[in-house]
Amino acid sequence: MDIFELAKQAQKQNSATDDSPKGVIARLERKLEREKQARLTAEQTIEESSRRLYMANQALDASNNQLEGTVLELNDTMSRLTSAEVKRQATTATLVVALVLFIISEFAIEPELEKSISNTLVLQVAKVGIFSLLIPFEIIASRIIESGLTESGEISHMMYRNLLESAYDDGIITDMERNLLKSSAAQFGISDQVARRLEAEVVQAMGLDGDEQALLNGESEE
Amino acid sequence: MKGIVFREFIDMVEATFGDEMVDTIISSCDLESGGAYSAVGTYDHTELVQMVVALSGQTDIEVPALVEAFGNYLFGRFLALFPVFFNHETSFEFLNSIHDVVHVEVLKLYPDAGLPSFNSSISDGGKTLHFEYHSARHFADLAVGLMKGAFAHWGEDVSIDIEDRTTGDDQVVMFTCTLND
Repeated sequence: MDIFELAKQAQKQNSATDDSPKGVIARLERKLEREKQARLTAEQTIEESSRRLYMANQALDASNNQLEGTVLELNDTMSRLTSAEVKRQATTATLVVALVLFIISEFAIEPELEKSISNTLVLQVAKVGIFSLLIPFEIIASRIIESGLTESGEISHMMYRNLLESAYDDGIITDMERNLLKSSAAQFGISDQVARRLEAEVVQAMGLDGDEQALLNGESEE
Repeated sequence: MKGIVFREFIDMVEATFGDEMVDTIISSCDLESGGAYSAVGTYDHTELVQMVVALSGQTDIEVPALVEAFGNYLFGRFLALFPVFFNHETSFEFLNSIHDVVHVEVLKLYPDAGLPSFNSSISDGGKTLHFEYHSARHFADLAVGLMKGAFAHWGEDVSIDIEDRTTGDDQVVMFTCTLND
């Protein structure tokens, strides 16, 4: 039942009412005191809450800084991986070049030498001489291959594509992932334009829908 | 218990019986808080029990009737203060959402709030609501008042069957609500 109806039906009304001015003032004073206490409690609660919020913010800041450190470390690791990959491919190519040079000297040059030089000592000296002449060729070839691999950017593109694929694994790019991608592109020496093209390719290849692509385009234009 | 409940109780007593009554019941009780309640504070629920008993003594209205009437009043206040929780089509849907929606939001703001728990389910094509109240505070009458407030707000005619299932320290009450055509 409604409290007002209940009150109407109540037979007994407040018996202890003191309506004299003194009584009224005393009552109001007590009420004022209660209101003041309630206000103090509320203020205390608010202060505690702000302190808690401040502490929580501090903790968030600290973990953000830590994350930034991790991102830098990751970048460093990636650039080391990239150069290791360049070196690996260069080594393979250099070995091929060395093999070709060896075959040339062994099967084309040396038989000719053996035909024209009969003195064994002179022959050995000539062989060593030819071999030493080939060494600079080998060094130059491996330099050219290494710089070719770095400049064509094929490896850095491949690494950046891998990064994009893991970033898009869950279908969205978080702010942190976006920052990581940006700094990695800089680290790999990939221009904004190329980065956007690679991203579009990855998005298409992963079959993400139009909404996400629109989101992505909006983000990369920032 | 959250301070808002105490504040609303004091406001109700003041609006219904006048501020002398508030002064009388607070003075006659031995309250740890001194009767000074802030909506954002947390207070011992036995203070509310003490005040209700004192009000009953002053007015000769039975305690359960007072608690239920307070629940009814409280529903109107919650509706005015937090309208966002009341956009349901029927009272049953609203009551069914309290435990999983409303109380979850309350706990986000007040992790220390000791809330009653409700197990509820709607059956019979929306005509029956089983609503089990479970609390250490023994305020099932307050729940009845809140439910009646909800039925009145949605303009529904609902019968409530009350079955006390208390076995341990906590009060457990099963309400079976049936919508009348």
